[in-house]
Amino acid sequence: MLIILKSYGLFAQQCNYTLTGKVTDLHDNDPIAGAVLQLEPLGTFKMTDSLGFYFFDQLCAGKYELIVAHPSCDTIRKKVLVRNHVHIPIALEHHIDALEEVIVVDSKQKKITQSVATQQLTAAQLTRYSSQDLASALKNISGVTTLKTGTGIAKPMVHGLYGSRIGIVRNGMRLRDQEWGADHAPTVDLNAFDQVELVKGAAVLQYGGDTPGGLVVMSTSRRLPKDSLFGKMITTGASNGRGGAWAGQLQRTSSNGNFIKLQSSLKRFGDFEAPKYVLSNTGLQQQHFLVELGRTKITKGWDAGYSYFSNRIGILRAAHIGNVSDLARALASDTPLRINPFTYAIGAPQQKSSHQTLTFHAFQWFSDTFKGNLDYNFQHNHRYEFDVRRGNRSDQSAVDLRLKGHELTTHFVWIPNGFWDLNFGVSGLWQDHFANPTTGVKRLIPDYLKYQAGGFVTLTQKQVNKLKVETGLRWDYVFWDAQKYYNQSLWQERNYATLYSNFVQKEFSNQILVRPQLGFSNWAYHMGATLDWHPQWESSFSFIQSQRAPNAAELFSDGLHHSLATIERGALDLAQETIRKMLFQTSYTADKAQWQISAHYAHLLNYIYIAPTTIEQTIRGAFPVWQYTSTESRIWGLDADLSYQFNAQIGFSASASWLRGWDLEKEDYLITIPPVNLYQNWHYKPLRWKRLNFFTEIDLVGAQNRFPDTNFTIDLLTNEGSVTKGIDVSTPPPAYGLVDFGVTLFLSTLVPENNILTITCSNLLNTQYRDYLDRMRFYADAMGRSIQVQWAYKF
Amino acid sequence: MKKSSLLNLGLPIYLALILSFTLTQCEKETPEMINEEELITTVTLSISAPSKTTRNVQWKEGAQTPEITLDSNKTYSVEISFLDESDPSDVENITEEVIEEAEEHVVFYETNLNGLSIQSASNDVTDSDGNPVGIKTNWQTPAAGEQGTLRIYLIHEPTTKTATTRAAIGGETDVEVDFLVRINE
Repeated sequence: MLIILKSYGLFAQQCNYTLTGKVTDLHDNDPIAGAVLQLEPLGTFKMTDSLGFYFFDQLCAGKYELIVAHPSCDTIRKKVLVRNHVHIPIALEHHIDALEEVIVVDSKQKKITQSVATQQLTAAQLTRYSSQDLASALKNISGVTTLKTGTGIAKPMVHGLYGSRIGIVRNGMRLRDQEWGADHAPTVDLNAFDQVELVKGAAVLQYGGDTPGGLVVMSTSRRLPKDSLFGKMITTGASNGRGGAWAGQLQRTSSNGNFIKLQSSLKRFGDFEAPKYVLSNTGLQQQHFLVELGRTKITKGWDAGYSYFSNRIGILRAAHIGNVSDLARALASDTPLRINPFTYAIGAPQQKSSHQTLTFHAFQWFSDTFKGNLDYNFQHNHRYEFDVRRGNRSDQSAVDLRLKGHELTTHFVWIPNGFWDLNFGVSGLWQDHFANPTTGVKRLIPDYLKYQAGGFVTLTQKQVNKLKVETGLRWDYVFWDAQKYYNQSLWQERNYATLYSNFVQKEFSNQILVRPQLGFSNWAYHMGATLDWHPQWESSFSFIQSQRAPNAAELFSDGLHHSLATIERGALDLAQETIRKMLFQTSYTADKAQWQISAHYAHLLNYIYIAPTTIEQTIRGAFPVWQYTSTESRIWGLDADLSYQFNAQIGFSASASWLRGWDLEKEDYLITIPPVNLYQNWHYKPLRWKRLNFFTEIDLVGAQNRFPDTNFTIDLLTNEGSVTKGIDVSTPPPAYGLVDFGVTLFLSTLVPENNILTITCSNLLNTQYRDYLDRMRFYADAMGRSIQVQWAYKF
Repeated sequence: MKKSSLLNLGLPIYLALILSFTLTQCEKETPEMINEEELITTVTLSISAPSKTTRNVQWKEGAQTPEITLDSNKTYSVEISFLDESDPSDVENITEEVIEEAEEHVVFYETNLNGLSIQSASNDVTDSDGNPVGIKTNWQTPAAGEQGTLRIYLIHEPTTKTATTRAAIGGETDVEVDFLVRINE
């Protein structure tokens, strides 16, 4: 932008006036350095310094026109009358190209939190995983692993924490699905979002203080008030599973600020295949539809939306077992005990979920320095699980859980100057969970109402002598009001009869109706600092405390897990978890190389986990009973990321993570801690064929040698008598390595990113392997080779 | 910047909607008690020696391992039944469902008592392929003095029905119960 001052006439010749001011970003008050200001008719050029200030002096009195310019901003023209020293602050509207989805991981870019490691997925990564899922897209970030239940179900795990300890945020509000299940994948469609950012800790308190594992922040790009029609389409086909996916979106924006967005995606796969056999009954299908409309006028705006997500996922048939002796036979076999020919049909056991969201957001800048946001959503999540049942009941679900809720949050931002800002707000959540009795199977999770209310305040102090400091505090009150039937025998055994007699509602012959009402007061706080101590070096330190109330499974679970041949029981006497985590990170940026290392250490008080207790003899045989309990533990580790550009053709990036978990009370290793992992990506851009890019990825996963012993024994009858056999469910599988290879072809020369054909071969070497964090590792190998062809088109 | 009434327009409507949702559902209904349908609580063996009265030996969840005393060198006719006695006033006979789904079920008998031989009876229930299900069996006892454990399985969707070991039969175990068997002198 050019600031042009034109003089319109002759005035008294006083020529020692100054024109000064600061140029900032209209949306967030960040100073804009390098804006060009032109003074006409003098023809003088000035540029804003690193703090956004500009300075003209020796000016004569008169009328001028100021034109301010900056790349990717709208030009501003201002008429200025100089009769004395003049001070004019300028707010520029940063022009974000609505098609811009290539977000390069840049250590200097604006972060949602100042001091905790955040990493964004690139547009290429989001597109590549279009036919897969969120957890798979995140897995190559250092410190992130995936907890899987076979090929169709994956949950993100950060620093060994998953489930209720990870928050997923969609356009500013938390996803409220039944995340307590290790085999419950998040009910989100990756294709509905333009940006996905991972925060490795509960450092963004506006979204909650109960996510010690971190946050996955998914958002849609900002819309601009200009007339435009744009969209994209991604079509994918994959050989393993013989299926594919289609995702498309269309957006219309107008100069008056109105916009409408339609997005949809479909996915369909048949049985997936391991290198040596078909993984029978692992087909899946998924549908998603979203409509959003609203009006954004830069200083205020609102939007409303509705989205519908549904899926149906087959669970490996061979994993549905009766009791531990069935499990013993499955473990003894190298291959799954049931292998059928490939089919697209999905039968029992299977999962069906749906998730509907109704949203409303509104924001307004009440003054130059004060902004308010109001967010509301209604979410409705429904999960069915179908077991293989007797008497033609396989079509009737064994689990039918419906969770619906309303959430309202307010968020205010006060930016009095460029040096510090204050964020604060209050929020409320109300949920109603209903477990349908028509299943004919005792409820896994009982009926309950859950209320939550809280507030937060965050203070961020920006660039002062290269030091940025951030501190925040959050308080939430969580209240559970459940109604649960306990077996009389269990009620007595666990001593609940004495401890919780006040919750008893009604007694029956062998069941007792209990109404537990439990309240938890959770405090979370965060302190962090970042120091730019060298042009190429930056270090940050952060301390976070998060407190998490136990979830529905931890408190009330009561049921048989068919694929693990275990009975799981909750515990009413669990206290909330208090997790204190320290993160220290250093990063280096230069022309060719960039790297960052972060060390983290967490102390977990009342860390809730599930552990085997006794073996229960039922009519179905023996089942180990796993009971939710709590302990004091520590989790610590190192994450490293590196990228190096050798020359214009060859580039390299890698990420590695190392993690340890230790149970302080039991003096033993924690269960399900991911082993050491090294991921490398080599990319090559040939000089001659500019339209082609190649990449190779190598993922090396170590063997986890530090794990607790959860083995047990069973009695087998032989001719000589009873033989005791040890069942090993603890030992993790051996280390493995996977190679992926891909080619990207840019089909158009005009805007190469808009028309891309990618052919990727994952598990190129068709490696046979099993992963420690895959609950299906007892029954079958993981997925074999798959060739994916994908066409991504944007307009 | 001028203050606007944008939020004033939408806000009351939404607050009203929210309140209406919450107020109508503040009190939750009492949940219905569930009595599991396919629950098997009891396994009954009706044991009859030729020209003698039938006696029943039952395996019940929570009770001690039941004992069966048999005479030596005899053949007994045994019929097994599976019951749901969780509601004593309404006892369900699950054996009927097993017989209806004969293709998907087999009863397997495993013992470490030398010489006890259990074979499918001639009037045993068979599936559409002619495979016996194992509901009616003949037990041939050995010479005196032996005792051992008899383990009876009800297997759902076996891989094969005509194998001789539990591992070879495959499938999912719905019932796995032990009986202590003594052979009289």
